[in-house]
Amino acid sequence: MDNISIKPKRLRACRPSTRRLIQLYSALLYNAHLRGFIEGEIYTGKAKFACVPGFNCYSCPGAVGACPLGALQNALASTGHRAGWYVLGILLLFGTILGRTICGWLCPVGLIQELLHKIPTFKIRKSRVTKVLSYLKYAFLAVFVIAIPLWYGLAQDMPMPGFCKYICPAGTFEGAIGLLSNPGNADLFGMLGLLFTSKFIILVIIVLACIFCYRSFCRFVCPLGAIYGLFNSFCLVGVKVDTDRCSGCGSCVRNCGMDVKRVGDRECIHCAKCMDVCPTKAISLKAGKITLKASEGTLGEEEQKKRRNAGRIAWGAALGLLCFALLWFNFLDPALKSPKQPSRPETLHVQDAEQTDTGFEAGRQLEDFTIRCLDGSEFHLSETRGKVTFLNLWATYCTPCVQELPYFDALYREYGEDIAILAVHSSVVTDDPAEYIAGRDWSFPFAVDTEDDRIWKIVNGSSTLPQTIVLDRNGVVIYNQKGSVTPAGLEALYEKASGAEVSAAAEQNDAGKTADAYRILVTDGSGTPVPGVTVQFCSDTECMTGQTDSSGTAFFEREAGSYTVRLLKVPAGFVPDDTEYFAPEIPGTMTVVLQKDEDPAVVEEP
Amino acid sequence: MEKKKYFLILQSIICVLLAVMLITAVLGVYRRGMAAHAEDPLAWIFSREIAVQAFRPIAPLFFAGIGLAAAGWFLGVRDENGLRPVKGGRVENKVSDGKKIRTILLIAAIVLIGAGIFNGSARDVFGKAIKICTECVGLG
Repeated sequence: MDNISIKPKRLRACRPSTRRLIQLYSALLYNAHLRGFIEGEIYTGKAKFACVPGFNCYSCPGAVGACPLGALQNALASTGHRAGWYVLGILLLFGTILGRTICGWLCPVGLIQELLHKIPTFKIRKSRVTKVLSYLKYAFLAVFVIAIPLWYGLAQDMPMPGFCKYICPAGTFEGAIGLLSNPGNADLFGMLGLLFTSKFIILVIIVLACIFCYRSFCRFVCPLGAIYGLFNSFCLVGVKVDTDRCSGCGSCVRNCGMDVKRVGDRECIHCAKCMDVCPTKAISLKAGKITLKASEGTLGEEEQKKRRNAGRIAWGAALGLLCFALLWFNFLDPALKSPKQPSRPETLHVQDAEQTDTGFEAGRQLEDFTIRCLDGSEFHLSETRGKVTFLNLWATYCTPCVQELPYFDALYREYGEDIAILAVHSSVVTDDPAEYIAGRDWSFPFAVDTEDDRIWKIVNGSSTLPQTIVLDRNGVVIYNQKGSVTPAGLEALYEKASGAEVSAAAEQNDAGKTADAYRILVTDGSGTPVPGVTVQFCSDTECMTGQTDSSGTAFFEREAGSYTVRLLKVPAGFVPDDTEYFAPEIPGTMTVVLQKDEDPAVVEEP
Repeated sequence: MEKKKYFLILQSIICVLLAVMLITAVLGVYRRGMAAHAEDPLAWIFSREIAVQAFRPIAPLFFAGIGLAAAGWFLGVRDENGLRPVKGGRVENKVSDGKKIRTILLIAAIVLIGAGIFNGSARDVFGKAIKICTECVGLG
């Protein structure tokens, strides 16, 4: 225990190093779309043509560039269509100029790992075991980054970024949790399942490993570091050893936190910490022949003054660039969307329910549209009245999208004329959708969205794919959800859409009266809809039960009359409510506020 | 010295315990969600409310861990073991300039990027970066 010390920090010691400042700077620059964190939407501007050098998920709401590793996997998955020269060129460029200097200075994941390692716990030293484990990242590179995408791309013509999908902690933390943590994306919870659970567990394990063992992810897992490591011995920027001064004492290697065998080998991240321990001051950080950082005492007074001035100019330029980036990516870029429309249904009041019935939310009539299909025919939404209609938003480069299309085809074949299906490809086309579907025996119509994303706007399509919208026979939305669907889910949606209509038709035929919908909207105290509540809707003679859908609404097709409403079953986290509420006599929306904790439930009478 | 040791033991235990509790919580939510999902294919496995409820018991420990870490950092408590030099002999640091290979690779990189812009692979990167697939980020 002689190695444990308590030394209260002085303010000077708390000052971040230049490397830490550059790490923070690059993390902020990569994620300059700060409004994305507030709006819960990713950046969709042209800057995403470029890859950033470090490990930064492009699904992060703040990301303004593409992740080189994600781009590489997708390029390999598209090998059957075209060679991914662009990504290979980018990696070659970054590798040749910077090598693993990127890991040490420009990687946000590296920064997070170093901060985690600062948590004062017992630490695991590097050893022969960690040296062996450092080869593991090449296995991850070979299997998850190269083999899986290539196999799926060539053998099954399906994009499958193996590392992103099964492992990547940056994707889980920045992309998934980054999006889920925004209140506007509550509907994304609907698609979480086994994949999220397993990736969340992997994230927790990696975080734990990074706390106890310096840069565990970087040393043992990161395939991007493995790629950049290949360029390390000849990259332009990096730590260099002056062989005339080097005594070969090995102090640099012994004091290094990484599993290096010598300075500048494939494991070296060029952090330049070894400069501080080199007794002969033989190590410096260089860009070609220009010395970026040298040991104290190796430079003359005049040279030091020059370097300080150059440093100030460089920092000034960097801060100017950051200010411009923040301004551009948050306010000036034409690609920035107007503030997000509410993705949740607002409470409809009975008196205006009849007038505000067009929209994309459950319970509203979807705006009519006509679009030319890939087979030359035209799809008119208004002509699908009387059928259950499924609209699917997809893209050829989206794995779950192309995986679920056969389910829609099976449904279409089973129910024939009773349903209408249209799969709308995103306006961002990389492979010809017509060519893509030509080899497949899919019987339902396909279309590509217009340049101005007309269909996307009508159904509230987002930058997250896939998305499925289901309309009942009257063209009213009963389901509008991002994420993939299962065959059982599609079947249930069909039954839900057709069942409600059968009930309504029976009512109409029964008494010749006009049937209308009672919409029971269940929300929590903050106005967020609560799905999965079992609602009982009773008249004097009969009772119906239904469950609130993803928009928190349960529908009951009944004519005007006297009804009572009870909540039979509420999801975990809410107080069971056995109050009997009286529905308004005129059909419309009634809101029930379900309370969390011990607060009593109250009813807003429309 | 003993106090310092206990500090590190306590912080280490909190970190491990937090990880175990997080994993247990997420597995519990998944298990219960799957039971509901088996009955109704449209039922959600996770929801914001369920997640908040599952992770609420972990919050006190989480904040205690953060508080302790901050205190430890300020007091300068650390296990030097992880940073202590490892044993080893003398090291020969090879120096290779690699100017020739670097020039060739830089030219190759620029040619490849140009070719990529023309063959459409740059648009692939863009398309994938602005229309994210839910599986690729681990959403499902």
